[in-house]
Amino acid sequence: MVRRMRVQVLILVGLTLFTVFSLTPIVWALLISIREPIDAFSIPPKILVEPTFRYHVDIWLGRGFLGFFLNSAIIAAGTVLVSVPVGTLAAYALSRIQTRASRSLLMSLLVVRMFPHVLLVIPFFVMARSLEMINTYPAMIAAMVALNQPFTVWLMRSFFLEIPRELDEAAYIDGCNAWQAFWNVILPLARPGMVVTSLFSLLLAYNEFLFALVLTGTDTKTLPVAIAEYGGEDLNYWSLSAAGAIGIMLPILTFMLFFQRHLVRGLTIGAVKG
Amino acid sequence: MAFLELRKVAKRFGSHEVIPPLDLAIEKGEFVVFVGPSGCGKSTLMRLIAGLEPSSDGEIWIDGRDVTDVLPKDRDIAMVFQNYALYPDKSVYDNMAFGLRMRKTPAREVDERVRAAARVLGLDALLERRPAQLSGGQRQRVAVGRAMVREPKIFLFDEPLSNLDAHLRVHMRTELVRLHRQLGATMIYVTHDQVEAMTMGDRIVVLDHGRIRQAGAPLELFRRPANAFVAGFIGSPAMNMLPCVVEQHGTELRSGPVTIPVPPPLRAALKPWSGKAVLFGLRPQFVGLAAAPGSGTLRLTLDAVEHLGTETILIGLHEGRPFQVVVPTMVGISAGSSIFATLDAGRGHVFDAATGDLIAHGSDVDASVPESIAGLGHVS
Repeated sequence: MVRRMRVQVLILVGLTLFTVFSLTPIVWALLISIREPIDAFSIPPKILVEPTFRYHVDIWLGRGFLGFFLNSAIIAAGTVLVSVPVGTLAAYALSRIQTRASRSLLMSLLVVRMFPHVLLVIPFFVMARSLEMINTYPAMIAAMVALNQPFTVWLMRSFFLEIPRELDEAAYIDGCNAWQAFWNVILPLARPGMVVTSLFSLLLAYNEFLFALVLTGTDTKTLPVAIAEYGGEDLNYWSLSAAGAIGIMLPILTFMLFFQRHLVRGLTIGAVKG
Repeated sequence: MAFLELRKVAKRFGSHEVIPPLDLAIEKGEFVVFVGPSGCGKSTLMRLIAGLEPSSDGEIWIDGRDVTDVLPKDRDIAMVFQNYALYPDKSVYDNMAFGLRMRKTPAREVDERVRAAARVLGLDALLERRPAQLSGGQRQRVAVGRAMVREPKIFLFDEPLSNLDAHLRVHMRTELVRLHRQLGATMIYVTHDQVEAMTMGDRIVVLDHGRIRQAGAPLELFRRPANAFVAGFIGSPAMNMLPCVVEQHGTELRSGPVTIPVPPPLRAALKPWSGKAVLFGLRPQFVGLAAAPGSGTLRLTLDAVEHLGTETILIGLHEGRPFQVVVPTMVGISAGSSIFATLDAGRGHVFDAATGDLIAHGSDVDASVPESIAGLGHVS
């Protein structure tokens, strides 16, 4: 009993340290974003300072971050809208047809994830330029879909594998063809999985920096690229950059909190077993 | 033409033949049980009938129509799965109505049929619940209800009672037999439990390695097994198999130190087997106890004694094989005791030791069935 408690205390201390470690940069960025640079970087550090939201207002209204956010949102939403349906269909087929060919296909999807992004970005740039699609949403969305697809397929497949095959078969017996069984019986059960996959897919596209730097331009610039432009030696830029970093997090944080219920359900999908 | 006909139906997975070409005919309204040990191909055979597995060879005919290449949805069959396979996100009502809706049945008719089936199965009060909110027995009834509302040509049951506790299993067994009588439908039932097979089926099909070892009425299989496999599989406790050599031109069977006199009617059949190895099968119910050794008695040291209340099963070893005796309740006997067992050879069966094929039945196998077995008689 005492031993068990001791283990629990140790786990608790470990988790607390990990949380503090993870949150420190965010809290630090928040503190920088609401202070004047002279206060933010003073030595010794000043604890009590009158907060200012000047940099937040400036970056969103004065420096076009609303437009960049819109670009990020369009690219992230476009990526989700293409990669999740395609990934879901592919994952269902790959979960139900388990042959050597399907396993090879599944493994080959991982190859895309094995290359460093910097290696992939060059051919994407060449392709986009030759198609005259640099600085367009479709080019960036296509690149994000290509990068995300292996992930969505693998994740959705794991959800489908949790759904007993007998449910497909019961649907066949009940009068469904393969599509109807998928649409009427399997897909509603995989919904929590789709929510989780969509959120991860959204995050990947929303936070992407390298591809956005290369494939977007003035009309389609995304938030991560825009923020990077404020990382100069001028201390005023640091406050702007911090305000941008906090701002970029807020929509995603709100989104995550809103879908938290689905997220938890999706991650414990074993519950669908009747 | 039979209602369901399998003509030379075979199933191979790659080079592995699960079901060699097999013929089977099932009449309309029959309750047929496929029984056999795990891996004998009984579930595969059912899946072939359902269309969930394509057959590698042969034809499947249902009600005069070749359905070999027809999709499951167009075969007009219903199936109850081992794990019930209820749709977890749908209510009991929607689970039962789903098949009818997929077939574009008018809403009013769907409602009538679902409520009628729910009444028969005692599910009226549960129609709005989700499967997760039901007990095992209730889920099982919903699965049956889902099949029932469809009014299919054939009902298929794939070990539907195996997930239930013993008490509920007995109850549902009776329920299903009653339902069969009530609907008069053609039903095929897969189980590995020979008691279920004996109590439920009009006809039992015993399968082993994908082959039909015998098909017939429960008591026919019990009394006249066609081979040692069926003899050993049907009946509880299992039939005793004594390895013997035929001696004296078929008048005696020697099993180790024991000589068993062969009753006159069996002698003619055993005469050509003189000097050869056979298996002498005798049900534990046809073994008696003697106070002292005599001609043809077996001396057994008991390994275990199972008191079942109404009867006692004595378990010992003879020639390296288990030998069981069923006697009325006995007290004061325990493992380690020695007994003398007398054999009612007229009720025995003789099989070829090499192939397991039947050589002859004893002359008295149909004479009477002991009380403990009579209770297993099938209901029709």
